[in-house]
Amino acid sequence: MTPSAPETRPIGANAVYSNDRELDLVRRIVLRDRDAFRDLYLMYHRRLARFLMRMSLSHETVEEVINDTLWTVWQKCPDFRGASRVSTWIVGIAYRRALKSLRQARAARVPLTDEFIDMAGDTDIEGGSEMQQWLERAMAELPVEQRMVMEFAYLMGHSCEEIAQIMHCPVNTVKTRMFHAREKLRLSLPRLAGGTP
Amino acid sequence: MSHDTHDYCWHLLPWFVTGRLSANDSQRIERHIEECSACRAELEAQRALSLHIRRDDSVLLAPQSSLQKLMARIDASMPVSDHIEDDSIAIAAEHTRPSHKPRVYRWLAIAAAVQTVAIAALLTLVVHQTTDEITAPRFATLSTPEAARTDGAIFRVVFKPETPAAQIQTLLHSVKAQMTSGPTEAGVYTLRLVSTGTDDTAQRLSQVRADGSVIFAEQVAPERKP
Repeated sequence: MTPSAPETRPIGANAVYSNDRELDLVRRIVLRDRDAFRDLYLMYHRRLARFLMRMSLSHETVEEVINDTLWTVWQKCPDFRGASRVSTWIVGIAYRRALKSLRQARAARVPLTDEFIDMAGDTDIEGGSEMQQWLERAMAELPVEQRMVMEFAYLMGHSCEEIAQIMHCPVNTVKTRMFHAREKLRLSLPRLAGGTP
Repeated sequence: MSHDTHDYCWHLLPWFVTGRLSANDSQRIERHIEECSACRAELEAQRALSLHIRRDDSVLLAPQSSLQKLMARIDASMPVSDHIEDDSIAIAAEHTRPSHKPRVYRWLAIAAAVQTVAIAALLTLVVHQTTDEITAPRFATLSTPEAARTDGAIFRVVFKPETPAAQIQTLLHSVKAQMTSGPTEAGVYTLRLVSTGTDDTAQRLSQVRADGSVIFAEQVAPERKP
């Protein structure tokens, strides 16, 4: 069980999922309600697939990690006391399982190199799709911890404290990883840094 | 404008964008960006970045097949009763509890129905077919010596929905197994191996898994004795 998250008050609705509904599903799963488990599975499959694909895992491994994660949820849900959000708990399981797969596959990403930064600076970007491709390349070159902080925040809507729980690290480490990710993307995405989408 | 406040706000800008800050932190940033052009520019850059990241919708994995595998894994993890039919009834009863209205997905229901018809036809064939490989009686009492021969390992298996009955029949013959129940809501069938007198369960499980018609196969955990 992860420690309780500090009290936060969301001021926006971006990517913030209903913890009450998910908590209700978990309670029913404790009673071995398969319908509730199926609902939770379908709810999380897409969310987990998106961030797991960002960890450079193959489609096959992504499916394995998702099923292992939800298998753990089925087995361990009686121990979940609701001290953290359900999404924080589940994403944390998936993240650790994915890291294990990465270690096994020795597929950890390399840090952003000066060579890549120079290459990005020379590239002429026109149009939104090219920007999207640039972003993909720039994100892929970030160290996995920095990339995942950004994904957890922007893609999944987790707070700083929740990301610290997911990644089992101090809150300041999350802020630092996000800071470095932003700086590196700024170098490789000059138009974005200038505020032009 | 203090340098500490600027650094503090600068680090929290991504969560200001997503609305995942405490009220105090949000108000502190709102006050700061009014007088800090660098933070205003960074806020716009992070908003644009956030939109780009969320815009990417390239991951389109179909969950149903994976869900079916996981439900089969859950089924396989459950201890099996000495009486397979009783076990199936118990599982079916759980699915139809009145307190939780089942949400059966139409495609799954159709696939299961088609497969049920196919398997029923298959069982009819098996009943009428006497071979040297499948010798266990359809009905046995404790007094019949053959009863002990059917007391083999139990597999839970999910077949691909489009699998023809003849292919399943061939597989059952080759691994010397009988189908005893199924499908469950998740499309799981229960197979019981015909005892051959040798410890070849693992080999037969590998053979089932390697078959092209099989999505998932797992040996059922032995029942825990009280």
